[in-house]
Parts: sequence; structure tokens; C-alpha cells
Amino acid sequence: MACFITNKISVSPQQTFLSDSFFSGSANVAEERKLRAVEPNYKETIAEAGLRRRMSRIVKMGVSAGLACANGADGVDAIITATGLGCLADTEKFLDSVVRNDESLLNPTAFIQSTFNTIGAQIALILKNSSYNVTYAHRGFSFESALLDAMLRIEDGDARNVLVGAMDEITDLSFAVMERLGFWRNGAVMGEGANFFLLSGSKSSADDVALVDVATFMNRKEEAFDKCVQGFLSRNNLEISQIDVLLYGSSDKSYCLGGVCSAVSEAVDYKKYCGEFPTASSFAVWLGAEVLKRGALPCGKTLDGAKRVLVYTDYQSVNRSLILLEI
Amino acid sequence: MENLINDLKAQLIEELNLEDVTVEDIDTEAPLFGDEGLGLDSIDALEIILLLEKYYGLKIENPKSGKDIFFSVKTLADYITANRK
Repeated sequence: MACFITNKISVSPQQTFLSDSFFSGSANVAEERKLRAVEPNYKETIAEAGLRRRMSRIVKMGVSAGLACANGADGVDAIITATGLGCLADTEKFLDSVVRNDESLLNPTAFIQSTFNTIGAQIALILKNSSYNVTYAHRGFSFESALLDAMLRIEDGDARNVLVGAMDEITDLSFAVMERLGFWRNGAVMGEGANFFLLSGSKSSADDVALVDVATFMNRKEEAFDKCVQGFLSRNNLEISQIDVLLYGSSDKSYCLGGVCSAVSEAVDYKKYCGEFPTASSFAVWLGAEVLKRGALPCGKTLDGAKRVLVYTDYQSVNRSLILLEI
Repeated sequence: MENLINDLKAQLIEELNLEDVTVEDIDTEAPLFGDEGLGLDSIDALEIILLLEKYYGLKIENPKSGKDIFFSVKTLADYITANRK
């Protein structure tokens, strides 16, 4: 049973938040190997100053995207969020105060806001929504885990509408630490963003995109992963030739995904738009759904009759995932 | 006293991240908590306890007195003046 993306909102390094500019204009590029999000006007998206003042950047990005996505929904039966590294700025602030103040005089706000489920909880508080509320922090599989949970809840009849979102943020410290760990080899740039989706068991309009299948694969070498790709297509009764657009996010540009790259008419490296972060696949799902709905690629190129998008994500050669979208 | 009150207001703005609030906006005698005045809450109370210790080396020895001490910027300043060594 497919789920349908009845609404989607993206805060990303591109002009994507409630704007068409990304598809009609040019793309923003990285500065100092970082692709920072184009942030909304938070005074408009989170009107209450008392709430906003305690929120760090990732919380404001996530809450803004989540609230905009839930706006107009016919009820939200579950809120499922995902983050690979959580609220890093608040975590850094809290840990820094632990060290600087010799484990005393600890700032309560940074500690409270540093937890991974802060964004899901804030959205629920603002919406006064007491339904199922879960956060997945499974590094490179966080967003995929959230999607699978949402699909299961809809398929089992536990929910009609599920708000699913993912977010991660850049901090200068995390960039430096990850640089020492070799994350930015092969020209990768650090990215960030918050992408939210309203998933439903039925369409709300004729051009809603279906989220058909999600699969995760841990620690697979490329030869073995070729078979995973074939298995994924087979279980969806598809041939390679039936995939119209491939959105790939991988540091290994030479890997051809079992021949999919050469078979599709369009293959787009989506991480050049959003950068590398554990939940980057959430941007790809937003992008894939927009591509199918608009019949166009970012920055102006039109597509003729594209029906299927395959999203392939490789996070540090550890977490690989495939997500199939269809219109 | 006026310098202390202005310092306190600036520290409250900084530590509580009071967006778009200036020292001039804060009424020295208005309540800090509740719907009037600054509308602070219990988490802010914890932050103010830390502020007093961090900037003035003061600890609230009797928790029951907190409500009176934290009533306004004026009462905070009075407490600091009376107890600062």
C-alpha cells in the first residue's frame, strides 16, 4: 500500500521555503565548503516571541517547516521526526558550559533544548497535538526509519495523516571535528536543512506523489549493493528502464548503481544542492516529489512525462538507502 | 544603584535571550513573571539563579524567599545590594 505526500515543506540551502525560486532561478553554491540553509523569517513562522527566544537555529528551522507542513491538514494523527546528530548547537553550548564552569552553574535551557526530540515536541506543543510522537536518531538511516514508521502506521490503520520530518544543522565545531574524521574528502560539502511531509493513505489532490517503497542497507559493498538495487526494483515489479529520474547522493561519483545511472534519462546529484548531512535524503524526497509534480528539474529544465523517481543515498559508505516515488 | 539595575537588565536580556527587548523596555518595578511585565517562566527562574551566582557570587539560601527576591528587577537589585560581599 502506497502512502501519498499530500504536503511537503523544505528549509534548505536553496530558495525552497514557500518559494518557487529554486526551480526557476539558479542554485546557491557552497561557501567555505558549507551549504547553509536559507532560513525563513522566524517572526512570521513562529509568532510567539516567548517560544522563539529559547529555540536554536535547528529548532526554528524544524518547527517552521513542521508547522507550515501541518497547516491546513485534516488532523495530524502522528508526528514523527528524524535527526542524525540532533540539536548540535545547544549540545555544544551545554557541554562547553560543563567544561568551562567545572560541572557547576549549568545552563538549563541549552540542556533542555539539546535533546533529539525537541523539534517533534515543540511542534506537538504548538499544535496542541497529543498523538503518537517519536523521534528517530539513527544517524544515516534516521529519516528512512521515520518514513517506514509512518508508512506502517498508515498501512495498519493507526493513522490517516502523519507529519514526518527530518532536520540537521551545521555548526562550526561539528564541521571541524568531521573534517578531522575525513568526512569532507572527495569534495563533499557540509549541508543542513529541515524537510517535512504530510503523508496520508489517500490522495488529497490528483497530482499528489506516492511514496511507494523505502529500503535501507547497512555496510554493503558496491558489488553486493548492485543486487540490492535489483531486488528493490523486482519487489516493485519494475525494470531499470522504468525509472525516469535518479536522484543520487553519494560521495562516490563513479558508482553506477547497478546500471541505473546509465539507463535513466536524468541523473541528478542532489547533494550539490543540499550538502552532506545524515538526513539529506529528506531533501531528496522533497526534491523528487517536486520534480514529479512540476515535470521539471531544478533551475529550469523540463521533463516530459516523468512518472518515477528513485532516490539513492549513500551516507559515508555505511548507510545506503533507496526510496521510490511515483506519480 | 542605577548602574546595577542597568547591568541586571542587560544580563537578563543576554542570559534569557530576550529578543527585541532593550534595557529601556524593562520596567524596573514591573513583575518579571506571569502575564504582566516580562512574562518569564520557571525555566527563566533557574537561569536567574545561575545569573546571580555567575555575576554576583550569590546563592539563594532560602528557596521560600525566591518569590520575593525575583519579583522585579528592583527586588533583585535590592537583594544583590544587601548580600553582595
